[in-house]
Amino acid sequence: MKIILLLCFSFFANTAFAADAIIDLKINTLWVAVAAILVFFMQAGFALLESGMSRSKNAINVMMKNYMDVCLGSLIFWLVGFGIMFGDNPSGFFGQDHFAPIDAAAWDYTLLLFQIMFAATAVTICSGAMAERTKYDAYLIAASIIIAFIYPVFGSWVWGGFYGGSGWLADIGFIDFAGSTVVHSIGAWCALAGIIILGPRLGRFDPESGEPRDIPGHNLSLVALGGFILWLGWFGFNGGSTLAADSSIGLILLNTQLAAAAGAVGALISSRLTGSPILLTATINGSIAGLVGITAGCATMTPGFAIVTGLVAGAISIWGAIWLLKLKLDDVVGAIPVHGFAGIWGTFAAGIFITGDLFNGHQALIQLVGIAAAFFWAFPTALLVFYIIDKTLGLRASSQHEQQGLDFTEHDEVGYPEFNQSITYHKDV
Amino acid sequence: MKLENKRRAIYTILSEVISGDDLLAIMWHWQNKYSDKSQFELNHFLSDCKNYTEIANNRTSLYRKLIALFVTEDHNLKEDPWQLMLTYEKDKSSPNCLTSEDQENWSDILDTVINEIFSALRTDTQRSIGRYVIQHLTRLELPQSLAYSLHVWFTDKRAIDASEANIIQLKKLINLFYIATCEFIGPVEADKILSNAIRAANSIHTNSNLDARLFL
Repeated sequence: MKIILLLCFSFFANTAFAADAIIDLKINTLWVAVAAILVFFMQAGFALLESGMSRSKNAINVMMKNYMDVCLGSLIFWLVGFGIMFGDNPSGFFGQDHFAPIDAAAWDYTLLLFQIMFAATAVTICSGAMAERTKYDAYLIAASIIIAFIYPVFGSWVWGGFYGGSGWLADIGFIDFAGSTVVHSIGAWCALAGIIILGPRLGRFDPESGEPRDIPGHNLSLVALGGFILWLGWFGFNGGSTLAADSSIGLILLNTQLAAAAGAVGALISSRLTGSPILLTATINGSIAGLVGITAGCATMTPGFAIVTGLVAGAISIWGAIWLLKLKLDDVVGAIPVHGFAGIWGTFAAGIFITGDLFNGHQALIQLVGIAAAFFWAFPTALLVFYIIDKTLGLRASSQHEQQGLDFTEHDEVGYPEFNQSITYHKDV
Repeated sequence: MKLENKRRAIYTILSEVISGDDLLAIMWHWQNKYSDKSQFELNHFLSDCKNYTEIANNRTSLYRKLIALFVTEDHNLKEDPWQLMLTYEKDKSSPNCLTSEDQENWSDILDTVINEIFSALRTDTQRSIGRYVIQHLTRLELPQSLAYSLHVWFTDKRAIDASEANIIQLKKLINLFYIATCEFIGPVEADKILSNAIRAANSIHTNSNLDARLFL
């Protein structure tokens, strides 16, 4: 009798466990799919922000680059990126299977969808920095290489091994929860390589004094709206990175919110300290820097440290932009200080602000190894890619095209027909 | 080596074998195509002049002498032929060169656009932009008459002669002015000034069947 009762109990327990697992899978899938939709919406934020910070004659070109980043990103990451990043990874340096998955488990498709959005985010960081003087086709080729190779290879070092093996940075204990380094810094280092090869926009720096000249964006309302949308999307970016609808999401989203707010305050204080006016663009970049900063450690630090992380990241976005200008590097939207420099800080902060293990020197060292690995992988590789494209296809638009605006020369469309361009440019040319 | 000294060196050596209008025509060819290039491009320059027997027969020795003169920077050079070149070009260009009404109108419209651009600039900026344009003019490979009239325009603002230029060359020329304006006063002002200049040209030449926007 006891045996029968035991068997019955065992049967119902297993059935209940299986039912729980199915429910968990459904809820997790729903959460990650919603998060993927939020991250997709970030592309709209990037497009608005970058377009608004560019001159009106390049507004469509910037939008088109963002749009095609998503399209190419989706196709290429499905084709090769996912396999390199998450496939079986015995070496620790790249995945070897799960390319172009067409017959996978339900959860694999969910993960792939979510990661496609991350890949598109990484590459779209380049488009803003390189805006207003890059040939469209050349940019798309570079973006494809970044999505197919540069981004997923580094990703495999940190997040790889879903289907066997693991990345070498993950093995040594590198922490990057949602991608301060994997997504944002990699995108920023590629952007840095791009703007070095491109050179600054015509007249960006005074030829005699070397002083930078302001080239204001054409629509700051778009910039603000883009900033809000990015902030919203970041809840999916960080929250979805749990890959499970569990109770940790509350802390992650709260940390995200606080760091973004602190980032704006950090930018504001830094602007005051530098004697600069409090610019809308700088404030929004400050909050995005806060978001980039908290991305690595949003799941492992308390809200107080999230505020510190965001505050410092916001300050870095201001000082970093000033430093880049001193180096005569023309980053149209401030992508490199916001995603690169704040990404470095955020990744480091994730190592020193771990709840219950504060200021662990060993972990901090590991974080620095990961940060350096990201730079020394992405920057030289992207530099080579952009250099080869520049020498073969040509990366930079001609000065005549830069004069006319890339909307007209690359797309034969005009973003604001009722303004100057319809008066200035002859449609038959 | 300064541009003037380069010109004097070329003139000194070539005048040993050729003279008159042919020499000045060759000097203009060098001025427009090779003056901003390395001394090692002189071989191509001499090759371009193969139709002149005097040059073709002495090409090797001319090249050797030119290189030697460029390297040693000998001060025993003839006077700068620039004035002679300008006079030659002025005599050569005449109203007969205008082959159509359109080309005449292009000259007027170009003249207006450039005048409008300059009228929006401070005097010191005008000078800087003028110098920049002259420095970079050679790479545009403009007709000699246009290059000459631009040189003259910068000094005494006489009418610009674009009768021998095609629309592609004029677009490149306007773009050079735009680049110079960007460099010296920044792209935001440059955009405004160029846009206003084009609009002004179209409003002044309302009777013309040409559109200044085609320069862009």
